[in-house]
Amino acid sequence: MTTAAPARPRAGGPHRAPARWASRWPAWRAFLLLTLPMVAGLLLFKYVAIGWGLLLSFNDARGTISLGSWNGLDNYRRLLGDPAFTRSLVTILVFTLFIVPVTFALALGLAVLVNRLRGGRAIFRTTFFIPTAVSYVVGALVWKMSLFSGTPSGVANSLAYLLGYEDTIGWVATVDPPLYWIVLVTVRLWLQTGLYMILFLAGIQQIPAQLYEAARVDGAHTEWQLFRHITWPMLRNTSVAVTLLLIINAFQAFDEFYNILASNLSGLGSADGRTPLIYLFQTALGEQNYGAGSAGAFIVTALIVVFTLLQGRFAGFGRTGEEEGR
Amino acid sequence: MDRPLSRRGLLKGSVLFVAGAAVSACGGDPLAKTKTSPAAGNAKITLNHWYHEYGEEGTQQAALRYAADFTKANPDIAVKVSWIPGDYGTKWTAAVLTSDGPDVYEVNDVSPDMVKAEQVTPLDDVLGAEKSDFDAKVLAPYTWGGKVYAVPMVVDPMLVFYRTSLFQKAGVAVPTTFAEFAAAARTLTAGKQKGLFVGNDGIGDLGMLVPWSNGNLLVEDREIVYDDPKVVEALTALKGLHDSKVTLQGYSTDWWDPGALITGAAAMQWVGMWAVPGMTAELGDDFGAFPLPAFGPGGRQVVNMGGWVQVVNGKSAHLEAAKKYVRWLWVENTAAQTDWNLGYGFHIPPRTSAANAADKLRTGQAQKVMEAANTHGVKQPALWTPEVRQPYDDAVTAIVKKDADPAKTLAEAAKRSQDILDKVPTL
Repeated sequence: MTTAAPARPRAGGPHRAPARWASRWPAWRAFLLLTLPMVAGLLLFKYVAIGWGLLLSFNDARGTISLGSWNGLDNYRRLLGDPAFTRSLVTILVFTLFIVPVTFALALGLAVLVNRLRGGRAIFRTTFFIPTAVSYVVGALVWKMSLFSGTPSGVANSLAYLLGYEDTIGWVATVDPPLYWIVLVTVRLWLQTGLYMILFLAGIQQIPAQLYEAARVDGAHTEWQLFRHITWPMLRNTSVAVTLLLIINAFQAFDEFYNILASNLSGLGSADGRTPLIYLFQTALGEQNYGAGSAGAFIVTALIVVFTLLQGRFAGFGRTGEEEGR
Repeated sequence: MDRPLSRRGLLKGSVLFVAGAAVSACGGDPLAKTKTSPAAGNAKITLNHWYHEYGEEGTQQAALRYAADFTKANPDIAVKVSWIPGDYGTKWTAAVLTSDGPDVYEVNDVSPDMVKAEQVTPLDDVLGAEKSDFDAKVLAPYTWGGKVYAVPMVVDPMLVFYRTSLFQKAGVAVPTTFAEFAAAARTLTAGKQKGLFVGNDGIGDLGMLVPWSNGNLLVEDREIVYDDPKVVEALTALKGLHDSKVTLQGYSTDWWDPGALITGAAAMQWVGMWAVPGMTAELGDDFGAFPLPAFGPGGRQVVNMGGWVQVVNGKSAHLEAAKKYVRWLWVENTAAQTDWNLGYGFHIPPRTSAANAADKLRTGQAQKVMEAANTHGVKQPALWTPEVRQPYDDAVTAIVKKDADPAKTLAEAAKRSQDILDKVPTL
């Protein structure tokens, strides 16, 4: 923009600022004007709130969000001492360890397949991507009330009937064996795979065609070899970003769990499939224990950070090619 | 005329647009349907009155009408009625933390924490001389340290409703013990029809109600008492019912909606009296109701007494006006109370005299439900809060659905519940 413009001489005036600053002022003004609302909003509604939450987590804040009743680490001790909360952490860990690789593999597989299509690529790409535009709430309700409804007319039960299983199955309500996970996992896969497929597809299309040609010349004959030695390494940055997003999303799982499993007017469903966020939702907004709620939010945040750092360490996010070479 | 938009013009325009959007967004929750009573022209005080979204047609208009009538009688107090859709519980809890919270709102429970945080205020003077006209059993859970913190607006008895025609066809009589109840559910399960619907998880409130029917209310004052052979016995029987696969699970509506009973997906359903008009419209007189049977000898029949109560925000700037309004609407104004409870849906007016005078409650199934509620009504103990009951609910799921050892699981959970209960402030 105006950064390259020569300094406009200002005759006299109250401006005592150095000439360089003065010359850049129009650019600065535009920069401030454009970013200030965003930064102010971010500070006010995110960072101040986060800071307040951190302070609150060291307070006995029941039915209030004002500070003043310091109770040290009590809230953290209460949470970590509650088997319901620790079980919810285990639940979300297992869920993450399952859903992340599965979504990753599915999204990458779909992207490779769609990319290889000669015709109709746009149709398939759109078809797989459309579920991303569906809200989690809507998806969850379709899954709960139509596909996996416990009535004989539910889609899953109709299928089971065709396969010779005559009893109606309460999919969501059955915890032993844990059939409810089928409902939860399939809805999430359906909702999120499309988005990551698009990311992978964009990554694949960035890979120069010459690389494949060169590889063929060098003797890579099978598709697998091409994938293994060209596509996969070239997609590394995309893969790392996708994994990162997947992990964060998995840890923050709430919407479909809440909408599929919550079944009582009071309380939020049973211990099975209770994620940390659902537990905390109940603690903070159901029981009005805002101190413990904030403490739990920081425990979950810490877990997400740890996982992200770990995966960054193993996958090498942000490492340059040079560092890689050493 | 064809001047292209200048950069400055564009910038100004967008800043104005953003500012405008921000200002209009600050104008309050766009979802909440808020209306001030029309006669509010020269009022000095405006009270904020929050309702959750009642499903029945006409209730919102009724609420607005009461508010307008009050302002007519008290020209210096206007009432702004907010009709809160969706998750009402989380919305009022957030709102009462600020100074802009409602002055008058409705809740299901009043906990000691709410009292301590001044989210409610004693309403003994509001109840006044009419206090004895309210069911003591209903007032008890809202009483702390000898003070009553709520005025009941709506009493909702919940019990077992059933299809009389299906009972006759299967030759089933109204059960008098839990064993008979479970047997009836088995007999009534055939083809696409299940015997019983208590909630989409297959347990619903039975985890609490069956022990009640065996004479254990799970918590007594400040003591957890559910680590008890009676509860073990009740939950073992409940597990038997669950394992026999006679309960409807994962239906498209949940237990509070009579849909499953009306379509015949279930022959019996645990639901509240509010469902009576809907069932009458669809089924005529092909339905009946009975309390949850006594578990066995020494047990008791159970009708769960739910409902909504009106509370006044202790931090309200217009405490006296709010109290005056609540007394006018929910204590003195029996006509409004009867209209609110029976004009749209079907609930029991909390004032005994109003309930007894209501013609609609003296005919057909309604009368039977009324009688059952009067004789067998049980009100959930006040300290059975969501936090206290969570370990118990988890234990029930583990026992009923996952073959956990009942006595051991309950003992562990009881310890936890007691710990939580001990932290609840004493008033």
